[in-house]
Amino acid sequence: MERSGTWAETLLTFIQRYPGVHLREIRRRLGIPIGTLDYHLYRLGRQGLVSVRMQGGYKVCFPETLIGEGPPIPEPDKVLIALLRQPVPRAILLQLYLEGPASPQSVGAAVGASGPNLSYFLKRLEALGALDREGAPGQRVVRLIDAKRIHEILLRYPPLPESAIDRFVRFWSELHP
Amino acid sequence: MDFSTWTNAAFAAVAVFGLVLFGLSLLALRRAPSPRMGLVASGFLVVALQGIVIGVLLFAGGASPDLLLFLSAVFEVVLLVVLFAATLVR
Repeated sequence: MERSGTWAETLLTFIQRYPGVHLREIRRRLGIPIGTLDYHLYRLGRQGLVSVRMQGGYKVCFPETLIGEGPPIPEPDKVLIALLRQPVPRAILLQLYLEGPASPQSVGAAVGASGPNLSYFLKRLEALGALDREGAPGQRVVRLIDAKRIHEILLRYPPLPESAIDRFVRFWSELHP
Repeated sequence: MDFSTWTNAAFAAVAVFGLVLFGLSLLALRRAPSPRMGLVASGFLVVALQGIVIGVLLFAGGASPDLLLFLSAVFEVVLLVVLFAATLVR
């Protein structure tokens, strides 16, 4: 059990390491009771060290100061970074960066996303200016608008590491004929 | 140590690792509820039960080797059926 005196420090370091992380994920990863978490987020917010915003129905947290000498996160990137905390949109951008433009169907097959789920994230990423869809319906091709920017974001803001339970779930969930 | 002590220790290890993996699979089931994960949890429960039941019988003594082998085989069959089903579940 973490001592209450170090919760704020632990929380700030975690948010600095994983900007855009969802509140629920912080609670799950750090095991902070929700009341304690709310209290420390409020205090860190008052000190100008973190900001909390609502996005897509989730509370997401950003550091106002980064670890080291990094520049502050540009405001337009924040929404995209928070979205990339979810595995499907991150996998979509990574797939398009590595393999180049492709049809939505092949992107969906590569990242293991179903139709409505894939369509939702493609629309969100398109609205954020990360990708666009060209061509007539049925012959659409998805491509990154600014591959260099996406590459930088993917590298600078890595995903949260998988926990043992995440690995366990993934291993058994992927087993099917 | 003689051979029977090693056998006791081996089944105790089966029970301990089975229980640990059963606990992990329960946490996974809570994280991602699905029939597959339920079957996986049941499989690890069977492993733990095998270790406990055979271990206790070995420790208590008196059980014939035939009975122990038969019980062990039953647990193995149940485990394989459960894992077979878990692998086939979509």
